[in-house]
Amino acid sequence: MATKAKPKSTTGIDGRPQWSGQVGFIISAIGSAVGLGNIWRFPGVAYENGGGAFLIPYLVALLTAGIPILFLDYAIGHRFRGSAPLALRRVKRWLETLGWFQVTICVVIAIYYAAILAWAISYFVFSFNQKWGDDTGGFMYGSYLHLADTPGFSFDFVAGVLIPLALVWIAVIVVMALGVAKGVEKANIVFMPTLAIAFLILVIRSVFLPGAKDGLNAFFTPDFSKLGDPDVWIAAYGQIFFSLSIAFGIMITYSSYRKHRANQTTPGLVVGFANSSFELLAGIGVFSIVGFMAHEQNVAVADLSGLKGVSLAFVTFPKVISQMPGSALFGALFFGSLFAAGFTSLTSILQVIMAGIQDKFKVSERNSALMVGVPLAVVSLLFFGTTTGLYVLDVMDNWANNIGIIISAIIMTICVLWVAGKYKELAFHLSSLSTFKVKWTWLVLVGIFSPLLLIYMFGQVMYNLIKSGYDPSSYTRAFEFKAGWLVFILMVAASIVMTFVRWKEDPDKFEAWPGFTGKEF
Amino acid sequence: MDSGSIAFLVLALLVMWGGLFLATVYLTLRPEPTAWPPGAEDDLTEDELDWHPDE
Repeated sequence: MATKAKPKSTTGIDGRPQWSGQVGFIISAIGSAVGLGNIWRFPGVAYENGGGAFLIPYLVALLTAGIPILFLDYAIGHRFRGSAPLALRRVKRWLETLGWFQVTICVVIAIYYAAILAWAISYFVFSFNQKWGDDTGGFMYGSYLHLADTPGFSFDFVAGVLIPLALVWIAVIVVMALGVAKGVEKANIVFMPTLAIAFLILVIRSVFLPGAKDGLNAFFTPDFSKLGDPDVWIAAYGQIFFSLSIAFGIMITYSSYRKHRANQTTPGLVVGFANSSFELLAGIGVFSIVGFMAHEQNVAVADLSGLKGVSLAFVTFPKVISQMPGSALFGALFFGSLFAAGFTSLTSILQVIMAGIQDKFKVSERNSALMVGVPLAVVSLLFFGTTTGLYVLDVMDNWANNIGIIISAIIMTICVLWVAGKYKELAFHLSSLSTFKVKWTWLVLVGIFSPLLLIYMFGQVMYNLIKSGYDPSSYTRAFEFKAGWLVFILMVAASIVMTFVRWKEDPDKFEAWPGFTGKEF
Repeated sequence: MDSGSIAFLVLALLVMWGGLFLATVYLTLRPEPTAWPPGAEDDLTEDELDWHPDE
């Protein structure tokens, strides 16, 4: 008998959009976790914090906080089947505000993240003739960004940034409008294997460059004295935390699109280790290339600067790429990888916002893509298509990540597990649906250890911010207030306002599955 | 490369890539629990119901 493929439904029995299957979910979750931070943050953080020895606290952080909080996100999203505001409301009515706070974190991150993608796609094009020339710093901050002399908010638009930024927004809105299965998942299925292959070629080529072994020595040589420094452990937990896309709504949203009968924890292990595997690969590639740069300049790796963040990707790397044999290909691979990694992460960030709007107002995926995407694109173009975009981006990034996400994680772990008392129910949910069971160890890690650690991290961040500001050598307190604290206050205000907006359909008419009486765990 | 850095390179590869490998193998061998709790029948969207006889 002839057979043919049955067209897959893109919604589940409860009407929620749905992944095409377990593989689609895992690839999309990895696509969300693997982002710019894996490529430009991890290698520099590891290098600054003990090289090879950093890998010890990093692995401890992955197993004791990263994966346990990832499981918590999965459990909340899957059991209470909703976007962050809906799922958290179903945990306890007043927790809806936390859900909207996670949505506002995503709003802030989305508007600046798109700008970095616009730079990456511009540099992808520049790679073919090394348009950046010899003075890569002068090109990035001068010829390309036209960076203003002093931080502030200007409306002097830069066409070279504005055009690619508009294109990024058009592309991402189209993907989002196609929906979870046909848009987000398909984009991940195209971009993630492409990213893996392109980055692997880049890494393999880079380890054979002259000087690569000096770079790898610098990266992996363990400095065990650093293990006694609490800041190194905090850096490791911070890296894991920000890298895994946890505690700001993404994984709650993604797991709500899984079918009811779906394995929870084992795919989480795959996602967690895949993210770290990619980070390690990035570290090997980046430091091989850094070693090559030191070799070409006849200096030690330790004497180089700009090994992290924007300066690593857009100043240091172009300089190295120009010196490499096959520089056009190398540049295209690097900036193409950066774009692919960032694009899949951006779709996941936007999905959090869209899911919140879809659940609250019962609008379609296509309409919500326009309702969310167009206003965000306008704000993104206004703030980041200008000569002051980089300054605003830097400050907003610090407040959204180092304050917003940490606060969100502290409230989520304490309020969901202890105040709302859902610790047994969520552990039961994970274990009854998964092949990798969780018990008290998970509860201790996610309910006691992680919140205490996060509170310590938050205290340290706040102490430094209040004492000396974020970056006193670059920004005035007034600018940090406007781009940092004021934005944060607006995020909190918007979260409260959205909580009071009426739901189109009763969100509380819901029964969690599987049933839990309290005796099962 | 120094022996110390080689050791840490190998260790990191073993733990991270090994972890990914083991988690993937474990998921492949045991993709689902042997029994589901009662209720919550899903629709036909997931992998196992992708193909059906032509009518």
